[in-house]
Amino acid sequence: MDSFFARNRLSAYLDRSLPKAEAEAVSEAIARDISLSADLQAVQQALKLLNDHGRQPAPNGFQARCLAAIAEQPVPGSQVAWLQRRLARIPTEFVALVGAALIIGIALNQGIEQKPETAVSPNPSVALADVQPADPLDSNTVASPASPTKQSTEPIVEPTEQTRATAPAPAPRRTKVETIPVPFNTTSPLAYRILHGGDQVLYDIAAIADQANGRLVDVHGKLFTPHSLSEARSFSQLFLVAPKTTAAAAHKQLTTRSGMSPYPLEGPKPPMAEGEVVFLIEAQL
Amino acid sequence: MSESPNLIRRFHAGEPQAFAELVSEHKDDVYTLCLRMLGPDSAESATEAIFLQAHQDMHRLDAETNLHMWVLQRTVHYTLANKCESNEESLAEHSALTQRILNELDPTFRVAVILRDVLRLSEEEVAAILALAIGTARSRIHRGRLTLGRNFSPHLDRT
Repeated sequence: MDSFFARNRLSAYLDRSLPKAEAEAVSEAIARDISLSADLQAVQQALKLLNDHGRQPAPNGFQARCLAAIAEQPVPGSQVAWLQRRLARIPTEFVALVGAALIIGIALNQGIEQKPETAVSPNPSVALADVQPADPLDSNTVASPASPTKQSTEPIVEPTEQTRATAPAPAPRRTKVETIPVPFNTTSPLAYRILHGGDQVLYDIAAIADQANGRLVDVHGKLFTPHSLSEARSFSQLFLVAPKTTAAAAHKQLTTRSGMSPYPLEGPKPPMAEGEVVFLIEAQL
Repeated sequence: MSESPNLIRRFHAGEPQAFAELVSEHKDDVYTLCLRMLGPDSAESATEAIFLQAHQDMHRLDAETNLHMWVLQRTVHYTLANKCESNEESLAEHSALTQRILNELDPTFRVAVILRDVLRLSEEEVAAILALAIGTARSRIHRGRLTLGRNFSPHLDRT
């Protein structure tokens, strides 16, 4: 073995950690090379010196002095330190998961708390209907100027948003139905269902008819008024006959008030003039 | 070192004797490392400072920590961060010679040689304490030893 390589293995050679063949090659190189042999001897002597005299015991009385100095220090390992030790063992992923869950929880909670502030309808029956999760057909908030509660006359879309934010699981399905635009064609009459609104349903229908310059009639063309509809008749079928010019707006309001997509109107229709459109409204009080 | 977990748990439980046992068990290694790295003038005060700091930090230790390695790691960091001129006059003759030839080594090689050949740790332990790859630790020990032998050559006749 070359002296250079043998010198690079001197440390391992002294530790007896070389394979046998390699150790023999280093021994041969040392026997051949006087300078390598001198280096080995110097290292061996130096290590012997370190081995014999390198280690020194701590001075007498060191421990007592050290412990006395420690006794003057504030006591570590308080309750906070105990908590820190335990927290240090909790995996980071778990902490992140808990943090994410907390953030989501707080966000949801804030959404629920905001509902009373943004609610528009002062009508308790409507408010209650908004939070019914299971029924996708519940009423919404198209207000009538004739309403004793003096609600807004504009169709209100915001309650749909409220419902989405506040209702439990089934609510998003309902709001999805509400937001789908229903195609309207004056040559294809449509029927609407308006359910669960009590007296308010009648006022809402009357308001829509009024705004559309239309009239509410039965299948024979006889006029209806809100007052002619009795609560005793829990389910009423009535027709709104309106001019074509306002039909689209009436359709939009009826769809919003209904909360569900209209369906094609089949069967008998009331008599109507040219340029008029008919809508069937199935109202459940 | 198998007593480490028990000793740490006792310390966490607030038993004062636990730290006294730690000092008793490791003071000679810490003092030796301080002596050979910093010299006799500051070795004792450095040893005391290291134990004081260890006492403050021990409550954060996991019970499974190897105390011997932990204490030596702290000592290495302390001595490498607090280099000072070593004066070996107060030492006995052979110990002074040992100090002299060690002082001629670069601190990075010196600490590796002290850990391996004075405190007699394994190469793996040296690598762990110095936070080095095992190959790097072996290389430092080897180069430190060769330099040590070269520095020792003029004193061969006297010993």
